[in-house]
Amino acid sequence: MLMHPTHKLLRRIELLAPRPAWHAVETGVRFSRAHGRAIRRARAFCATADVLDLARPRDWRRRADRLYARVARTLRGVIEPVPDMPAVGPVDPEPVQQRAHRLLYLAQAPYRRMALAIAALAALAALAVVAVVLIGSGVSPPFRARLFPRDLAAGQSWSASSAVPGHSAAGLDPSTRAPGPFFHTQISDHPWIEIDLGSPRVIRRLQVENRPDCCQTAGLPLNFQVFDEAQSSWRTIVQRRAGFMSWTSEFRGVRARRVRLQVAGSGFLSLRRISLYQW
Amino acid sequence: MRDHETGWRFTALVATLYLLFLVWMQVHHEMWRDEVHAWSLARIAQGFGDLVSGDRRYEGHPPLWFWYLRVWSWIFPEAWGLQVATVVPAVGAAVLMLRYAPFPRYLKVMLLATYLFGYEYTVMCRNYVLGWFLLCLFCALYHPLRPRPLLLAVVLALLSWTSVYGLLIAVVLSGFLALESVAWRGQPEPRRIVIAAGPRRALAVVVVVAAFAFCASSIEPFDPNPYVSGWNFSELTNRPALIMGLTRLLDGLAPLRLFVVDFWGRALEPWNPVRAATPYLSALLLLAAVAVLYRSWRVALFYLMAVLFMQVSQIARYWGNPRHWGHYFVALVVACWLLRVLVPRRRHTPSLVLLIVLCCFQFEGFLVATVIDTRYVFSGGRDAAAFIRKAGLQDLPMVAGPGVFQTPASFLGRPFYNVENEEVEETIAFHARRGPFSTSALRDKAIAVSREHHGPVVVITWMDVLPPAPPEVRVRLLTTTRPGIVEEQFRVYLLDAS
Repeated sequence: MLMHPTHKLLRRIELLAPRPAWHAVETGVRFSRAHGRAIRRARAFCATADVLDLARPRDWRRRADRLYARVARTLRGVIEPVPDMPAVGPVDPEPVQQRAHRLLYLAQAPYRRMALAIAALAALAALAVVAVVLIGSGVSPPFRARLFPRDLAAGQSWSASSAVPGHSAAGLDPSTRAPGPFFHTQISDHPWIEIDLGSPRVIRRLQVENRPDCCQTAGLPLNFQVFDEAQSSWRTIVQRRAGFMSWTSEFRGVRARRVRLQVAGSGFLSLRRISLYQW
Repeated sequence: MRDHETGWRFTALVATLYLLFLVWMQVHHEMWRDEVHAWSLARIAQGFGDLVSGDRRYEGHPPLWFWYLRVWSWIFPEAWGLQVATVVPAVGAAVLMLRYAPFPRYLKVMLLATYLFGYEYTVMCRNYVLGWFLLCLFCALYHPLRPRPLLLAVVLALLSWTSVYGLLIAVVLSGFLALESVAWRGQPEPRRIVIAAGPRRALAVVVVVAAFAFCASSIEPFDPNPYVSGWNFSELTNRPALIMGLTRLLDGLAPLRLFVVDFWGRALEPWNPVRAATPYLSALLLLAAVAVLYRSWRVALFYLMAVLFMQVSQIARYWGNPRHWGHYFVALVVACWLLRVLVPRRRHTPSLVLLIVLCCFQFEGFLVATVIDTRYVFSGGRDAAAFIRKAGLQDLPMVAGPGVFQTPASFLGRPFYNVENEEVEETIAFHARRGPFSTSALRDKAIAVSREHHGPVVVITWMDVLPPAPPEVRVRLLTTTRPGIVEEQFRVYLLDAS
């Protein structure tokens, strides 16, 4: 339910002012809700009330008296009904409450309509997005590749510079879902793991997951390199210096068949998963 | 004396003068490595996520400043964009203070002419300027009778992401707001505790707690930072460490500076003649600072807790530098501001006198910093980069060392081969995986890179002379930059071994 702005402020006053003063304010404002003219008066009261220093406990009593007097003076038209206003004071609280609720309900109507319109627009936008995705994916393969990127390394062969006992130096599918590392080189200078993609592919994104159990900073700095067939040499595309659990790197597209991750210095290399994407 | 501004005329006038002063200072200020390093990190990061999990993890700072700089780097890719990014929040903070702080006008002007707000946080391009801006925003938004729990929570969350000191002050300010939501009420008896609760307050608590948790989790690096070791709480019982902590408090509140070229690195020296008395002076200042806040126990508690948190952080973790110690003064200004909001229509003479006295001390440091920084070079990094660019050498491979001092690479926006490890980037990551530096290793690396690229390379050293190379290698010293306020003097060589 929307809260009347003055009510929020007065709830704050409740914490600072003694109960009788607060009660008077609350009563006055509750009644004032039913009268548009009085609402403006209540707001004017609140604007003046906030400059009162209510923070000092020893002054609470004196200030509460002043507050009460101000309320009585400002809201006199409501607490003590004047002839030109309907008699809806404390003598007949029930009809006042009903009327206040009805007025509040009416006051909230524009907001309800607005909320409904926003919900309808959001639903339409969601429908439009779904339609674009479905049609675009059916018509354009690059669009589909962008939306549902395929892991280029999945199922491809890999080989490592060396392997510790219990691990192999070559295998299939570096895009493994296994919980532990799928390879583990021996400690050496510039250990590496190479992936053969089968044919030249455009690569724009690299995703590497480190082993979760330990050694997140063991193989650093870690270079991602592609083999340049024209110059018969490895070219560094990106370098990772900070320890990581998961490292995603996007770069300008490179076309290569053989790629590798190589430790720039000495140490060992042991990773959990390597994925490559065109988009 | 007018304490509450009702118009924008005074604010606009003083803020414009302040802006002109900052622009003038920035033109004369050559940023050093700690300043441009953050700019480089923000620029070379893969994205905003990389600034959470990447090289930034070794900085010891939360990511907000780096995110902020990344956005600015889209507009101004050159290094001077960092100066623009600093001036904007500095002037923003000044505008908020001039317009909304319930201080007398002369005090507001004095505050802008302090060492901290006139130089250390606004001319030096560091993340602390965002913290100062957000603190001003918090104070401007705060009013006891107009609760804005969600808005204030967002401001505190952002504040906690500016620096560790921002986090500490944000934690204490959260406690201050939490205390405000609790009242001891009941008339007549019995009195009871009343807690103001509601969906907005609950959401605000969630926002603040989540922000603090994110901040705490994002500032611990994967492996040790060479400059900051782990927590050592046993230092809290070490008497010399405690005395040193009090001395830092004194420098934070009253930063006197020597009128010498290297004033910036000799922070505590002006107090040397009365060195034995500094702990007592500090304790006296702290007592005075808490005492002048006597009209509101919550504000006094806020300041006391802020000082306590900062002292514990400095003694048990990282002792810091004058820019860190300055947060004692920042917290005091915030406390005085909050006090005047909570208790208006009072003269607040004690806190006013204390602030004026401290501003006088700060003015001395401000004067020294302003004069020296405009007369002398702060760092040789900008000159070295300008020389390389002017000579058309910026596209050659660059080999440099020691890596931590390579300010020119950040100015050039070009990567360099770091001799201490195998990294190739325009700035370093502050991890401990770094070998010892030697000029012969630098020369050998430069020769290897030159042969690999079949052409000359630029070699930049930090005040080191390159040792003689083999006769087939041509080495030429191109320039040596002027000595600066900080020890950043560079030599630029051209080496060709192809």
